[in-house]
Amino acid sequence: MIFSREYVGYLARQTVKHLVDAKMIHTENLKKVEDRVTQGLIEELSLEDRINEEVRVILDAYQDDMRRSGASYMEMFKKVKIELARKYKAVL
Amino acid sequence: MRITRDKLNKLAHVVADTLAETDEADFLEDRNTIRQEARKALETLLLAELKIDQAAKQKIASQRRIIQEGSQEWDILYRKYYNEEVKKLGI
Repeated sequence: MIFSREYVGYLARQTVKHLVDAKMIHTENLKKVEDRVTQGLIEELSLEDRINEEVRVILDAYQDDMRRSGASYMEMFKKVKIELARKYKAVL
Repeated sequence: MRITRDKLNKLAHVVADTLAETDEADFLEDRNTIRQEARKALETLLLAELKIDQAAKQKIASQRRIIQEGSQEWDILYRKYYNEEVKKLGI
């Protein structure tokens, strides 16, 4: 993930605080709302890590073919990643 | 900012959607207005985060010897200096 979990928690707390201060939302349980938003942001921000891991698994399976054909690992990584992002409708 | 505009918009959607699904949060404005406000807040915060990233990189660059970006040593130092900068925010 591009940001640490601690920083994502900070992002969530500050965003919720901003919305409360701007009188856009109201809550009697600030901690729970902050925790839910933190979890949502962590899931979204770790999506790319999960896709990267899936790309590595796919490319490992085709390592020999890639070596024989002289395909560049980085080029293939980018292509497979774009395909997977499209498949999952992910925003990277 | 270290994420794309599309990703920033997606994060704002996540905030609005999560709040809508949370019983503990009552909306005082419509969902789209809340999403736009969340986007503004996130953009400001992520622009500030860029300074943390740059400060950490600057600390590595100011070492006596050259440390190659992408090396294990660079990554370890980056994480150390990044966390030091984050702590200044009181996290």
